[in-house]
Amino acid sequence: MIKYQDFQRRYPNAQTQILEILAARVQQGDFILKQQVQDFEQALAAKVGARHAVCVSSATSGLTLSLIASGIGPGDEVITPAFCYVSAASSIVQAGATPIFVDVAPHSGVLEAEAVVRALTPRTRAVLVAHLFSGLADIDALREALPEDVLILEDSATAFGARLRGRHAGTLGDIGVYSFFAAKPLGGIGDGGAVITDDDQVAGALRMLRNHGQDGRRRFYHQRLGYNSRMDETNAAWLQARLRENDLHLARKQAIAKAYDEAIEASDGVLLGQHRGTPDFSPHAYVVRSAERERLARHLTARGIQTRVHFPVPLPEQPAFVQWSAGPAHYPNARLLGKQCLALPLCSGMSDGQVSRVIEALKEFSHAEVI
Amino acid sequence: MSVPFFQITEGFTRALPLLEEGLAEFHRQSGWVNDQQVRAFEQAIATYTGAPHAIATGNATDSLIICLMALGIGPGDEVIVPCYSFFASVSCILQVGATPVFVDIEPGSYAIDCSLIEACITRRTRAIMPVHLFRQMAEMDALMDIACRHGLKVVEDSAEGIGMRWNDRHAGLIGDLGVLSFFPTKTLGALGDAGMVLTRDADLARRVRQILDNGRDASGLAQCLGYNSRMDDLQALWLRARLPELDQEIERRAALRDAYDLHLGPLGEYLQVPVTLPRAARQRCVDYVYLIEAQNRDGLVEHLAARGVGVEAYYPLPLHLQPVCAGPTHAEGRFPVAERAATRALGLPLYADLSASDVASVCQAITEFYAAAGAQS
Repeated sequence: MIKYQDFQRRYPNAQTQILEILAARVQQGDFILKQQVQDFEQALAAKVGARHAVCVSSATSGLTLSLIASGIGPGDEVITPAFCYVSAASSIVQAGATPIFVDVAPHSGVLEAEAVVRALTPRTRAVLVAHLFSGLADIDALREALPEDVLILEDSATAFGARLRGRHAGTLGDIGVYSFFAAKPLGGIGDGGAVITDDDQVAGALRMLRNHGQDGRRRFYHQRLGYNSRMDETNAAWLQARLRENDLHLARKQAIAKAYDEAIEASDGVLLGQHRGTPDFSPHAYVVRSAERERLARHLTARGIQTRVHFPVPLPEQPAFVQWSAGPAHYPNARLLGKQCLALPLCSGMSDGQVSRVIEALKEFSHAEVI
Repeated sequence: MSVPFFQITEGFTRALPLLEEGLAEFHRQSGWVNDQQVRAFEQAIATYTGAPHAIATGNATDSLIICLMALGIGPGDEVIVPCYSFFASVSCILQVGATPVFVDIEPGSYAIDCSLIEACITRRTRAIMPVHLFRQMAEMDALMDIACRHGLKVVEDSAEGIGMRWNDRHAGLIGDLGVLSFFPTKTLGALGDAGMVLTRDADLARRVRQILDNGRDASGLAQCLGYNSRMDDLQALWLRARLPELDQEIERRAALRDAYDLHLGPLGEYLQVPVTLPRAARQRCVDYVYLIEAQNRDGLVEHLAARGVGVEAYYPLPLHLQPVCAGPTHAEGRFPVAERAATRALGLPLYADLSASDVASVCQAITEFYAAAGAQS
């Protein structure tokens, strides 16, 4: 069985590593938002070349707090992709703002500047632009097309390690958000996220918002309506170690993705890959498109290969967000991708043999299709 | 001498065999958030508390927000809450857009003074949120009677309440919904943030499960607005490894309280040791915090800090005086019991691994402080 995500293969020494981290935390007596988190924030900011990294309990929470820290709330519109994880919509509603859904480009799955500009109104305060699977949205083009006062919130939950024209995903817009959910490119041992910004004021606001509105000096004195959105020391200690070895894992995953690319190219259009928008990509998920997705999934399952379907229902068509939908006719690409996308196993611990088995199975499928 | 406010080195060593077993399972499982270890811990807490539904969350602050959302409480609604508590007791109400209506506490239990509740009920009141602090639960018979007569929901902020019982029913299971916190220093503490929601109502339980997972149902479709507030499997497996010792540790805490009482008794002129208010109900108290009320509290804190004794002022500023809650109806002087407690309350070190000699040295340091004060006056 080739698992979609295989933590045992990805982290063969996890048990010993986790036990050591826990023992050290217990010895130290520090568990939440202390030195380990601070050290990780510094290492992370240095790695991506940003002024501030502020760790939070999850990327979803990071998105919400970023909007609030930027003063975005009731009456404000935030443009967001129709094809994405649920937090691209829920974080906006949680901040009290109005989500404006925009369809994505079919070849990349991400927002493009032209479509975003068409959705601008005088109330638009921000664009939540999400990188997806293995691809990057062109933030530079978006910046050029947008009025200066429209904030770009770069949802880089899945894009840690990717670069666009040399600069790290997460640092391309005004505020970036990473997810450290275990399956992510930089994976934690639990939920976690970070907000990346060069803005001192936003960073200061985020540090208060994540810890009940306290300023970090005077305990039990609450100056803002804050949340509990803190990172655990155990997770920060684990993430420091993962950050140090991230380049190695990234290179392995890129190699696997490129091997898959060959199988897609050989399929004569039966399978479509994702347009990644950069050669310096960070493959979080390797997603192929097939007009016969269900048959492809069955074909792979029968060969012991686990797959996953992302976002089968466009966000504006989910019950929680339907009140903000502009109508089904506005999101044809989101619906198409929701029907066609299938994610293949991709993890740095996969053996060459496992990668070959996936490629063989893909070739078998597209070959049968040609006949 | 150094006595930290909290430590868990010995508890860690005792839990090690179960912890290692859990870690081995965890490593084989490919879900590290809100997954199999979390399900097993929910089951264990359901068994311990007798809760028909125990639902793990990221932390107890989120648990409270989620409870209010599950009840559909929002803008225009009022929630009655004691003004003496951790910030989360009021921030959860503000987070859902509702209005907090503060009530003073009873001296001794630090819980909501039920005799003051009915005067605060208006047409907009939707719920009462009692908080069980430190050691003893709120007077739940009186409170449930008021809620019942006025058709109000009850959300128990039982974040500190694990092990506490009212007529044999566990804290959090008397009202419509209750919460548990597993903040590291709690009676059952995680090694990071973790929380839970308890309820007897299957429909509320289903809504809570959706809200904590971004509003998604089992198929992944967002049915309602939610948060991301899931428990990490790592915290769940640690908590499960600690749970078998909980009742023993609660007994140990009670013994430590007796030791404190004995040492501090002679200082009655300067400080008040914890009391237990008599209730008609059968109550099981749990010594989560050993809270004294002390003359010149801030001077005592400084004196103890200089001697390496960790203490916490629970809570130095009542909720109605927090900057976030500022408003004309929240002026100083409105809630005298809470305001007096805020200047005097002090939590001393109390945890299962604390030794009798640690207690003796803490009390020695306190005795010295007041002896010096007595000599000066």
